[in-house]
Amino acid sequence: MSTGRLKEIVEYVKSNFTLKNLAITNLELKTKLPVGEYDENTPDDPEKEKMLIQAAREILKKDKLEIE
Amino acid sequence: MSDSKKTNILLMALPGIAIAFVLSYAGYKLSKLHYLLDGFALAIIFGLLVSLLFKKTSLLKVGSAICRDLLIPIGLMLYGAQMNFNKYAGMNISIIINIVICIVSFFIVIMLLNKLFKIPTKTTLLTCGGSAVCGVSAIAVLSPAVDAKEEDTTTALVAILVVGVISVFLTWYVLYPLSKMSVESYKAFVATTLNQTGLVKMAAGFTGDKAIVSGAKVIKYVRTALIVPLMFVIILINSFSGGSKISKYQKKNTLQMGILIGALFFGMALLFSFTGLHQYAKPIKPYYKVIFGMALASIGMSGDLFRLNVKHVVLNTLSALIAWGVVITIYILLLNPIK
Repeated sequence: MSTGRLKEIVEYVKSNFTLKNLAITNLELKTKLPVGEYDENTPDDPEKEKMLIQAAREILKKDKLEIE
Repeated sequence: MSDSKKTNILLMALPGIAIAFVLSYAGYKLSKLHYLLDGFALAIIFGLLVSLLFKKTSLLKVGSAICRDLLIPIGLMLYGAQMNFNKYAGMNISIIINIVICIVSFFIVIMLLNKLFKIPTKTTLLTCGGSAVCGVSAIAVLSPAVDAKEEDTTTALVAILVVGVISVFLTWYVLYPLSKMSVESYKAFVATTLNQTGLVKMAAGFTGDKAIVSGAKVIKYVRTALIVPLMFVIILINSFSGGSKISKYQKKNTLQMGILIGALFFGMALLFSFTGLHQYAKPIKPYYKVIFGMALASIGMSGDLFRLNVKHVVLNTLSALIAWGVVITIYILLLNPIK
């Protein structure tokens, strides 16, 4: 089972946002996912990945992200 | 970001920021009433209690996040302003060597025991940093540097707070009388082995000698200043333990955080040590206490005591306590034979 993709998306958002804890909170509020709990061992999930990518686009105000 | 969105975020953040301020201010004021009370420890404890009551509603989350993002760096800057390298320059080199040996000892013992107890690496690193250098403040600084989860931070905080209380009373009521060390030796001993600056002041304060308290604080500040080089060591250990699973973004984020913290803390420390700005260190101190206290309160508010792994909490606390026992044994028997 592959892992770490969800965490990678979260870290990507953080790396493009000055207030990193606020970025995590924004992601949690938008997706209702426990984003702060994700780590390198969190199993990949295509549905959650889609939700995170969509939320990340809104937060970073980009139509397409480097991480997609 | 549009103005209306910025206003929305600010409105959402206000309750959390206001609560963090109240908790920090309360801790600060209580700490003035009695030297047994440490303002920073109280701020975190109050934050944890609030997290129990409000179960992390979104109103608390946004404010707490902004406090951690902004006030940890600002608090560290103001902490750095309290340093005075001129005072430390004349310090006996053996004290500094003892500090380094004790720091290394804390790390070795806690890491070995926690590997045996199967405690997560990030919890272990935070507990090492908190035990070896400066208690809850170290945990606040190191948490973003190792990308700790809330339970890592809370588990480490519990260990530091529990061991802190046990160690200060054992030091004064058992170790000091049994060891027959001189008051001067006692001063260096408490400053080198107790985890929290407030506890060092407390233990030194038991002697009733203000000069001993003052001297112990100077030694503790030297120990505290080592948080920055130690942070980079911890970032490296954390990177190696994660291996190839750690993404390039995560490495970039933790390194950026480390460099920022180092630059702010040391930058201010150098500025305030070697320019006329040092005269402002004392007037700044209350603001530093409240601002950094807000950051600590918001760390507490983001904790979740119900989700803690009780076994990890107990075992991690035990290893921190054993580590302290090993460090004081090394200190008394090897580093500073009874004087």
